[in-house]
Amino acid sequence: MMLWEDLIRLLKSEAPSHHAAVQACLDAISKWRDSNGKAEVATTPHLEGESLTRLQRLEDLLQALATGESQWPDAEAKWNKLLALLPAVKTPEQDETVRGETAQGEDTSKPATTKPLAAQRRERKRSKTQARHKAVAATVSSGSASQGQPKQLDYTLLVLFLESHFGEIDRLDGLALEYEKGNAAAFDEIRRKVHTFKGELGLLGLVEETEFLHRIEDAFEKKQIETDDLLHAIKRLHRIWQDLVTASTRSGLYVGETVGKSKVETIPSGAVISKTSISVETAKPAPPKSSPKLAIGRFTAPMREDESSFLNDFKTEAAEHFQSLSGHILEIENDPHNEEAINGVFRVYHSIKGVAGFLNLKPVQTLSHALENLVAKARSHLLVLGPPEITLLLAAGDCLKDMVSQASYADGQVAVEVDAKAQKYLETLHALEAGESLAKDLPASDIAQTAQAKPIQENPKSSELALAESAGTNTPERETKASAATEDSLRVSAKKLDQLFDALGEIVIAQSIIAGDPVLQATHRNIDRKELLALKQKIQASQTILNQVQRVTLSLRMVSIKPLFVKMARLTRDVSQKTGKLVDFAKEGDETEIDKSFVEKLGDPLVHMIRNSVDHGIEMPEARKLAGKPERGTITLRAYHRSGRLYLELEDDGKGLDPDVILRKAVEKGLVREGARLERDEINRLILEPGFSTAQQVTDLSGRGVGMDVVKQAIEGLGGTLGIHSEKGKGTRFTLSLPLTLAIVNGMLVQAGSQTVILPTLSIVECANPKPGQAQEVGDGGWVFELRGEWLRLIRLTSALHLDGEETPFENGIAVIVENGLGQRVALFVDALLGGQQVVVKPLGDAIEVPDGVQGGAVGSDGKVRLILDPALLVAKAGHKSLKQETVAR
Amino acid sequence: MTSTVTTPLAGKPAARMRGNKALFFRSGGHTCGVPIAKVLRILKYQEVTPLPNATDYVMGMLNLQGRILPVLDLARRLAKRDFNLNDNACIVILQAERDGKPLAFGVAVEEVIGVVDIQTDTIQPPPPGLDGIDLTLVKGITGEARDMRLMLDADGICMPKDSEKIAAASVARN
Repeated sequence: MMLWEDLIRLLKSEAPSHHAAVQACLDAISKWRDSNGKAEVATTPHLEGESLTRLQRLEDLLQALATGESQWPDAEAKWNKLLALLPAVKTPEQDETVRGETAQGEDTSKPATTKPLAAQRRERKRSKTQARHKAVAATVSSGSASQGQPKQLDYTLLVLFLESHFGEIDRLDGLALEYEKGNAAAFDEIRRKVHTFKGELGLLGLVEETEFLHRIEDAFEKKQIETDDLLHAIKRLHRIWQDLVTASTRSGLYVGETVGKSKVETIPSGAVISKTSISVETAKPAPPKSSPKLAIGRFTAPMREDESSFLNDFKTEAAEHFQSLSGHILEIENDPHNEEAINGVFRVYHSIKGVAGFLNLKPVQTLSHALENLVAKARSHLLVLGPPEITLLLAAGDCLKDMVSQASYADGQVAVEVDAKAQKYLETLHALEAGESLAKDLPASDIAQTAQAKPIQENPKSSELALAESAGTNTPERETKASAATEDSLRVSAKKLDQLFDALGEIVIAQSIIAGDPVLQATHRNIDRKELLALKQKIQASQTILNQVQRVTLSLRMVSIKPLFVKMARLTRDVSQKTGKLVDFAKEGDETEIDKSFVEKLGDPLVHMIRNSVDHGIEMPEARKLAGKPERGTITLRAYHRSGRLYLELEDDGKGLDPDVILRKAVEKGLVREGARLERDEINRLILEPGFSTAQQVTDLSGRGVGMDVVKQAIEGLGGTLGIHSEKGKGTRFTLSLPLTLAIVNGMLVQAGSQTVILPTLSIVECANPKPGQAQEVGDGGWVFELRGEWLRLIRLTSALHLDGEETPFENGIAVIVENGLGQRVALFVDALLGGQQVVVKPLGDAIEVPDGVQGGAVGSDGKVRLILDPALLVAKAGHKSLKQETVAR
Repeated sequence: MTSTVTTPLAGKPAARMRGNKALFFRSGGHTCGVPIAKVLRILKYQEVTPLPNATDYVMGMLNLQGRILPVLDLARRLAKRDFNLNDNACIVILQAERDGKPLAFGVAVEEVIGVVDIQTDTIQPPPPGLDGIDLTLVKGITGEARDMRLMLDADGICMPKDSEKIAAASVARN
């Protein structure tokens, strides 16, 4: 007869991706069904109606798994549902007599019918200690093996091995962490990988290394390897890999030096039992026994030099994690039941905890662990993450981020700074864990006072239980999904991408040289027309493919602007809390793609702009009420592509710019002469002047008049322009218009004097053949152009760019009407239009200062550099100049 | 589109020539040298695309295997002299450094002489107060009478913007 609880425990402890486990479950169920059928009700829970159906479904699922019809990840969701239902049919305690009858050997609690299970378990118990000893012994003994005996490896095999398994060891680290979380699939994958490596290393003739892997496999066999051991084993694998890479550069001469030096014996054998394992116990994140304390000050721990590279990897990785963190937390703030976001936050803390532990960064580990616990509670619906918790998560997350980013390595020591804040957060987190309400514990400044903590349940015991269950049922599915998602992307160094672009540019040119070969055009010669046509078609076909390659390659550098938006959302929240204003953050177009390098460069200016908008733009709630506006102000961040440029708009519905105040200040500062009459737009632009501020007092947020100057500098540095539109009392809108560097640009080739230059097609409004009298000279060298009743400024490109060449009479040239992002239009006079072409925008190098109006360069089909002009900047600069002259004239 | 000129001593693998070796060339009537480690490549002189409104010593832009690099007129940069275009003219691609970041650019020279071993102790700093040339570029003077050689600082050739103005002003004074 079958014990129900045994079945449940089995089902939970092991994701039934193992054949044996599935079979065992099936056996158990069928046994039970039999007994149920025979109505041996005395010792079995009687199954009726729905319970029976559930059991039936469970059995079907297991059957599908056993026959391979269903794969584990698919079945997992169903599985979890069923598991959640199972306790509903849990029986009362089993009759002692039954146990007595069926008991065998030492293991009295196991009934006879579950012999395979019981046996398995006993086997494990016995092997547990052995395996541990063995695992430690294995690592230690192999650590002292092979002291740097050079060995000649088969070069071809070696290269083959390196190529086919590139990056896989890195993935093992991730898998090991998954394994620690209880993802059995990860364990299987590690096992397969290790097995493959063993085989391949054996093939290469690396005896010690193969033996080492073999021992790991042995430990796997017993399913009794601790995460720490596993991570150390993977580290060994890393070193073996590095040695092999080194060997490949020495034409196959392998020196197992780093393997020999390996210090695995530093693992204290006691450490192996400290951590979670995937074994029989349904291992769950246990609540900390006692609250670990953090000592303020510098924390140091020993670290080996060759491990210090892990620290940098960790920092990079952590930085990425933190980037997604704020977004998730803010999503939770909007919807406290957003499971995906909660899981996202959980994953971040969890991964950081894992690696920090591995790197001995105790303070980081402790804090992230505490945070993880808090989120875990929310995850199992024991706690709703209200505003105080959100604030805590954000603040502590920042603190953690600082700690990680400041972690440094020097002379065999890794150091982290722990400040008072970290300690405070940790205490708060522990208090929260103990079930205390949050609001009274955190200093008021850190918390929105209006909100209340809502711990749903305070009984630690039951929460522990529920935590365990939910973790057991939910985690594997989520984690598998997450790991699948990361597998889809690949980190590539920016340098390699640049090389790819360069090579691509070359091949595009080479292709156009082929396509433009005079032979293809020559029809008069003795060339078979049919053959010529066939050749042309072939060239056309390869051109099509090349275009596709070009498109994809260029999109590689484009990333979503989303992380930047998330950062700004977070900032808005922080600043509004500091200033006591109520501000909503709205976003539009956060899926817009921008060049990767822009993400960093736009960060600073946007920070200043957001601060300004919240601090100076949005009014206090009372003032807003008086003005008849809703209490909550709104800041909208918008991104979109138009006219071949990237636009970013920041709009607030605050009090707007007051032209009178600005003008008065400007006169006070001597920026403008008393009584000068300025256009509204010119007045608005005064706020961009360095040192200009209308703020009554300097706060820690803004008021020194530096911010907008920084913005202006940064935007101009990116070849962009900044427009300001404001209405007093209604709000202000800043419009950033930026070129899409490194994107493919549709260019119009135009002849200007002796040079061929490129104008981005999207900036061209229209082209016109000037008629006599349409272009008029105004004053000395100023030109205007009449277009359907409107007089536009006309720029002669040849003279504007100081290019050589005769001045073409207007009737023989073309007027190209271009528009900058701000609606200004201007006519550019060129000698001829040579046709459109897609070009790759390339920077002109940092070695020299690139003159205004030149956006970049492209390589023409003759291999020569062609300049890409930036009409927007050309127009803006010209306007700026005339404004300057005006000021001087005054 | 780019052809490499072999210099008289450039037969050996580049790695072995590093150290106290310098590439010497003629520019604006001077014999100048840069450490060989800073030299990426030597090309035959070719037409470059002029960059409008740029500083006077910027000759234009060159396509080097898909990379666009500026080419500077060394004669003008160093001593405000005119570049003498002839059949031996070359463009030397240098790899300099500014604020820790690598910068590649070309300098147009009248003739590449070759790679020569230099004894560091024979290099003396330029005499203080020397006018006429931009001293921010010149690391030292070596050679003998009739064969004076200027050791140039590759990093200084493409220098930061501020000091550029000062240097230009000092040259203009003469």
